[in-house]
Amino acid sequence: MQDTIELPFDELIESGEHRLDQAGSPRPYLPEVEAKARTSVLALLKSYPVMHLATVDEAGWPVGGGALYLTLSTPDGRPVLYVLADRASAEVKNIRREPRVSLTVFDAFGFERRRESRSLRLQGVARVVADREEENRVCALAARAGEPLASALGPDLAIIRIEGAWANVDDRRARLRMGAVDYGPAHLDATERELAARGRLSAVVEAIEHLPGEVVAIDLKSPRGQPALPAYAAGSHIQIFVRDGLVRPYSLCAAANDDGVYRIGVLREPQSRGGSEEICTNWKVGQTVRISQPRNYFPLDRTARRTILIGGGVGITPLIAMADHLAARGADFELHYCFRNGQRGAFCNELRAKPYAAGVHLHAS
Amino acid sequence: MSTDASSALPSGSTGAPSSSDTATVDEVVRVVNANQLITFTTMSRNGWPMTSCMHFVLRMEEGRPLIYLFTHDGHRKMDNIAVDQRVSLSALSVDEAAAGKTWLRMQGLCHEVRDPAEQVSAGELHETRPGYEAHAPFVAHQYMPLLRVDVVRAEIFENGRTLAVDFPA
Repeated sequence: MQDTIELPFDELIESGEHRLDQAGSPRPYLPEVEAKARTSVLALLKSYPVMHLATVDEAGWPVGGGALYLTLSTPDGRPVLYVLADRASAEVKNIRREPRVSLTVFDAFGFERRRESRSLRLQGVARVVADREEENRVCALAARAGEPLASALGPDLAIIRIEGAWANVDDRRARLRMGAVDYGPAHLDATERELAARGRLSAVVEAIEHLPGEVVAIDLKSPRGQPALPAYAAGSHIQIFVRDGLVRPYSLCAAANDDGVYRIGVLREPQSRGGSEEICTNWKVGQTVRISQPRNYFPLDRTARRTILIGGGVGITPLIAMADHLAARGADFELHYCFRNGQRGAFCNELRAKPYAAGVHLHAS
Repeated sequence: MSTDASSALPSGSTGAPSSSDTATVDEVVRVVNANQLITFTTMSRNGWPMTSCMHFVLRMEEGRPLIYLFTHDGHRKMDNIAVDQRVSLSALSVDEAAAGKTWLRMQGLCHEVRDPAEQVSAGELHETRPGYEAHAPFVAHQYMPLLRVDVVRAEIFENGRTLAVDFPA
């Protein structure tokens, strides 16, 4: 008897809905690593008899719990898990109403042996099995494997089937660092998958604003139908892949917002290698560009009782994001913006309009 | 949806302490402290639950469990709790001798701690846990977001019986 099962995509997974709101998730694996990751996911699931399963109750609360389970897979390697649960349990009740679930299995080695740790998060769609033939088949497989659920099925018990949609796996023993496996059908085209795997994103130029002092502010957003651009921390920057061999870093100059818009400020520098000139001159609203995931090498000190931010010229941009962040937290701070005498500071008007304008100090030198 | 979850209680919660509080709370503490890792569930913006396996530390404050968890900026769970504070935690305690398993489920309200003194205190508390002393794992805690879960309900599942305790706000 095979431990594979033919199973069409659940409609939720077929729709690609599981791919939305993955901002901040680990990146998909590179294509050359993905097969290893898929193998690792199944191996991890088969290694552990108990999972931490989370469902959602009728009021919208997440409900964590534990469950014994059996792991099968579809012929193309999608995980399919079977869980035995009391018909009156919160899990069964919740899943009948809301099929979206998340589960975790891990080696509880703790911090000292963290380099040997293995962990897996699987988001999937759960359904209570109503088909007697499927129940019997699962029980037969469980019996063969010696699983406790084999003999337990009775009138008070139900079998839940969980179909994997998206997995994050971190298997240090297999030398596999945290990444993502997408089990849905290939709605994303190959280019987008490849870009995501390499930490690159597509973005669309949403707005261009010419500011004083030869600075251009540009708003970037994810292409329609794609997940929102990842969240980021104040101080973060992105790389812009201007053209082959020309990559330029720009700080994100606003606090992360619900709209998933990235705002950058670009100073036109005619004497440079051409990156800023290209962006300031040739970029148009609606144009698709390539950017990196945000990175933060300039974090705020969260323990500071008072923060003084001092920036000059276009270097003020990450500090604006920090000021936005601190203001949203109600933190004590002040921002000093220095620019050359005779030039109007590019961000003066924007800063004067901020709710924290009283804490902004302008210095023309 | 930004949740003022103080007005909402998990299913089954009465909002009042149950009669077996002391013994149940002791059992909650025992199961929590039997683990170095705990499963933390947040709600994604689009309604998917998201589990994460995390290091944590427990602090009892006036008989109520508080769970501290260190995380990283930009992680989805940070985004999730900004939208919905309601979280769940689960842990398992295995008694090899008795071949028994005890499951613990807790639900609570989560927020990012922004008080420097509380951040430092939680970091120090973490470093006193067995297995963490020599590593000072959270030496960089001033740069790591700290999450705090105020537990509002805990349930223990053991040998077919369920014990529950509510922690009114």
